[in-house]
Amino acid sequence: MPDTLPEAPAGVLRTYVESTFLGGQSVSDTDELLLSGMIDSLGVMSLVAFIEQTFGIEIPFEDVTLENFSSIAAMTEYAGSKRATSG
Amino acid sequence: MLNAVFLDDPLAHFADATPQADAISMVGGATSYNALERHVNRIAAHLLSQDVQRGDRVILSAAKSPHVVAALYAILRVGAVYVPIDPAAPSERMLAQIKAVAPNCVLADTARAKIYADLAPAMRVFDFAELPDASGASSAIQSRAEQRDPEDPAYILMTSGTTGAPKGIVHTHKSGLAYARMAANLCGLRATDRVSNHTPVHFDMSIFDIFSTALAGACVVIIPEMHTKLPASLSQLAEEERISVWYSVPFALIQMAERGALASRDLSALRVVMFAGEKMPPAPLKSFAAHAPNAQFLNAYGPTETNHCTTARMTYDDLDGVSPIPIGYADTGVTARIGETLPEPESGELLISSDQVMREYWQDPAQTDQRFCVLPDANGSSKRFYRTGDIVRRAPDGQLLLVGREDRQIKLRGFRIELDEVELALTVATAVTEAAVVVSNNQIHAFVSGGTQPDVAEIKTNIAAILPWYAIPESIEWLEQMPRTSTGKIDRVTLLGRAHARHAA
Repeated sequence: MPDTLPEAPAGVLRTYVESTFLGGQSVSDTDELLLSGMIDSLGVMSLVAFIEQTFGIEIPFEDVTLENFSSIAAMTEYAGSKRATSG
Repeated sequence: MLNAVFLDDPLAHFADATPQADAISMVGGATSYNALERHVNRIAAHLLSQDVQRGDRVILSAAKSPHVVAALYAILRVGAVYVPIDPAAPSERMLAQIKAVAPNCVLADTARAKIYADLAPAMRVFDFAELPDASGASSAIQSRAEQRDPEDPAYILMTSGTTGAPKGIVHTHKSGLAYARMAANLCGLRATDRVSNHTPVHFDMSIFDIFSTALAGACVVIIPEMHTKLPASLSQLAEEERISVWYSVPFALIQMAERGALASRDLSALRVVMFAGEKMPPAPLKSFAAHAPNAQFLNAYGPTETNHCTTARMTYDDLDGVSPIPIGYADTGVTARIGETLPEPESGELLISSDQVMREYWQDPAQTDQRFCVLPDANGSSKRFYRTGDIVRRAPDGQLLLVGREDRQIKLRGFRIELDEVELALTVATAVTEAAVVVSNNQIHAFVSGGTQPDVAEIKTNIAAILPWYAIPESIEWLEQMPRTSTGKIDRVTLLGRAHARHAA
């Protein structure tokens, strides 16, 4: 059995995104994060590393796509399904 | 090729000749030449109704979209000058650029329109999405278009000089079109091509994407901002859009080579891959090239002032992954010479004369005079040359090799050092893909990225075999990724700040 998921995965991610990239501004789970220039390609890489650590998963390059990383909701869903399949 | 006089002529031509052909494609939709032309005229009618005069500057600031392309054409059509401003620029920078060109008004997308309205309350700001449908003005647009002169300014690209004060590079219809035509011929563009638009419109590479493509009646594939940050999505888009001519900064190709899942992509449609903006490191180019079996690789060189003006052409077999990529030969219509004296010295500053060179720096005759000189050409007639500030030398086969920026040639402890050679040594001798060195407190500091974190002591040992002892960097720091400017170049100012901070600490 894998470790249990963080209690509110979306919440953990949201806090990270808000404090790391948005200077404390708030963001909703469905906001298009990469559209506004708030997160650049460097930011994407730290986001990937954060999700890998937090969720205990490994993210291959081919999964770092719009479908999986465009919003906090998309990332949460991706991380959840990844955990389910790797567990 | 089409006999165009103004930058918007090719659009009008193909709107008539091949009205249903795709002019623009952007995920989820295509815009035909006919639809684009009508869109342009709607915006042009609005600009006329707002008293935009010939020669007026109009700020254009928005995330990439078909709207942006239509807006810049509309500005050109009414004889005004488009001034693209980085939509993600910090507000002080936006303000400084607005001040520098004293525009008539601002055209922006909804997000930016809000920012500008707050930033410059006295400025008239129009949101693309809310422009009224001004029809029935076609005769007024026509008569304004006919008053224009090919030597009128067409667009001003803003750079921040070393002082940080904005500097406007003024291109005319004539200089922009001279470049667009040269580059369209260089790439053999044809109506069936699908040409990438990776760079934003405030960067000069977009001139190729938009205007060279239009000269061939081909389709420009606008790459949304989000894809540029996700290499696996970027390569997927290249495959799905069947992009045949690619043009970007080296970084985009490096990213795709490293994290673009290229093994599972079909890039067989690519027939030209062109890159410019900064030096392409040899190793990632070779690994990218392995996945683009039908492509020729073009290293395009040229400051914004001259447009891309020399090109090196390569195939996969020419790439050894180690040798520096040359900048090639002067392009058609371009006279390139090394230094001001004859016979040409072996190495020296590259001087460029061509119709595709800018007209001037915006309202700065002193700077303009300083960058130009008049010299006799091979036939003895006088020509105006732009001093690029780049040091080049000729390889035995006649190709030009970029040695480095004039100001990147430094003297430390009495030794002359080419900083670009130090960077090349770092990428060749180690597993890193990119390197940037800066000088702070009379010491060289290196930043490297790519691969996994290497052993710094090992890097030092490796480059000691290539570089003289005095050129070995004082410090080498591995970064997960280089900081980037909004146009995708390595952000050296930020690196310099980091190096300074090290001293302070």
